Amino acid sequence: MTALFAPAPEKVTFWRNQLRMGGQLTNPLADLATTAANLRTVSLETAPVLLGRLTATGADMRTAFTQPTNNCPTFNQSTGAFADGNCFTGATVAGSSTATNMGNNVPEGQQAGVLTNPGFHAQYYSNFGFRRQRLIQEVFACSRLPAEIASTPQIINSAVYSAPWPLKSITSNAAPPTYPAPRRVIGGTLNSQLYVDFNVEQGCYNCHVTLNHRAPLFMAFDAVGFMNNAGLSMVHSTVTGSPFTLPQDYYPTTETTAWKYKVPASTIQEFGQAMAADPQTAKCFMIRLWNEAYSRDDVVNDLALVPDSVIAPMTQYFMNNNYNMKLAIAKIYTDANFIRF
Amino acid sequence: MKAVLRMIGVASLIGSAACLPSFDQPAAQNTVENPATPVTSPTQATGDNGVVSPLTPSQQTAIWMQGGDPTLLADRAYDEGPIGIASQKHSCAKMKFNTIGRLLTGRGVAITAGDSPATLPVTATTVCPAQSGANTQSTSFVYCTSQLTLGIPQYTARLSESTSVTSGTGTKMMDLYATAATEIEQKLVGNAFPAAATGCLDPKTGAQALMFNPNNSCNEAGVTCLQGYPATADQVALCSRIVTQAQASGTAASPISAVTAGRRLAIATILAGTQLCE
Repeated sequence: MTALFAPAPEKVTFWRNQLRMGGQLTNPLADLATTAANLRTVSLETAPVLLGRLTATGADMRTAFTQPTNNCPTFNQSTGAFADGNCFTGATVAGSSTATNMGNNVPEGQQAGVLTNPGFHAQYYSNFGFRRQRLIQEVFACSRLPAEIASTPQIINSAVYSAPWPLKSITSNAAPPTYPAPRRVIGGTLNSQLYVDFNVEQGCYNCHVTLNHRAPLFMAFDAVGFMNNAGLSMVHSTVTGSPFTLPQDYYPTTETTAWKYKVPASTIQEFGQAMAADPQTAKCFMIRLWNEAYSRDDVVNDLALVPDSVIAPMTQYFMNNNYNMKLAIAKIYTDANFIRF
Repeated sequence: MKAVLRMIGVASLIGSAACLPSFDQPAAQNTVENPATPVTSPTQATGDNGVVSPLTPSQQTAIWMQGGDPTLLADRAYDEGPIGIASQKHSCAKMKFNTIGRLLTGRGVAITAGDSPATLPVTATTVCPAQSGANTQSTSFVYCTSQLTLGIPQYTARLSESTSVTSGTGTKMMDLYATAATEIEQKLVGNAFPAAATGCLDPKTGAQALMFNPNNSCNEAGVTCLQGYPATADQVALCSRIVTQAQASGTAASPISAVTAGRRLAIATILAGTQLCE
């Protein structure tokens, strides 16, 4: 049983393990050539510290997705004290050096809690930026992909299509993209019309209709979590030549980014507000807290599920108390069921 | 831990079959009873299996949304029992690496002696103490150099700290507690925990908890301190029995008396028995 009840260090450790982040990471900067001179280091501590601070201070946990400033606090492990910190360090690609903490390049006031955290984007950098979306879904919505299920699934030839989005809402052979020539690659350009076919009959659609409507919002963050402020993508497509992605790699030009079907989000801040308003994220906070208190495994990776009949009262208490996780911790650790062992 | 969970699951299932019929819920399954009555319904005899059919896509979807892959759920339910019950029971995860360090520090062990920096938490960048001689090493050496085996989280590999006690982890934890037991026993002051053992204040007396009585039998306060919850009379008696049944060991140059060996063995046994979660 973890002593999550009282000390701040335990709350930071809790979030380190939930986010699987800690220490620091060194990766190539922006779309520059992969050379030693272009490597930069980013802290993987600020995201767990941000969430640990919100937890320890009894703040509204919805601000984990909506807080516009002061999103990279620091934590003194010895004293248990938190200190304010900005993710926007003012560094630029041209003027940076290897010693510079690049920050996220998102001006204070335009940030969105952990969703613009540079460490988070660096740790989960990947092709198309899909790994970031998988983590957002698994850590904050507590379910694996596919994330959205229609009330009535469709049979497409031999495949089951279970998502609510309409067909042809993401890039596939049924809705092929066109590209301007040339496309950006590291160190130059590439003339190519190749694209990834997110094919419905091969089962890609079920997960990717959600992923492809989320990932483009974050594609400007590079491998150290530094955002290109011109909106240029810093993640790669997997087609030959590995060009940087464009919106049409994800969906047709008629589509827009969204948290879920019929929950559009044109900016990261809107995306964070949609997450904050989703009861699934509130329930997920409680499921993760419940599993920690009862020394259980991870709800997604290890299928340590907590059924609605068990977690609903805690979720209701959490929401009724302004999403105060500190109060929820006290309630779980003093619950009659908890002390009955 | 899985063995314990399996036992709990089996006990729950037996209990539900024997005297708690409303306790159990159907486990996840890969077939469901056919909801539609067949046009020519055969007459079923008592004890016949129910009519089953392959899952329809909508049924597969419903099961997935209720909890994920049904085959994995079925396997887990077989091990742990119904999820509505299992989720409300305490599991027993591996003690976190940092917690092990704090636990031993609170029992008077110099867990960071020789480390740089000399403060918890020990991390991958900590400079561990040098090996001293070819034989027994200090607790801080074992703790610091065994950090991977003891389960320090590997965040660079996007992994959280393991919650499972593997064979390697369990063996190393026993090594650590055996080593720490010697240090704890050596640092006892008049059979009581030293002032540095901040986790061992006896609330009944207001003084540091007594580990052993003058006749080398175990003291309830000391056993309670080591295991972290009130010791029963049986536990104290078992501890005393270990002390009395040990044999002398060591070498001619540095002999260890039977009583000293017994005291160290008793401390190591309590730590391993209560903190290992197996």
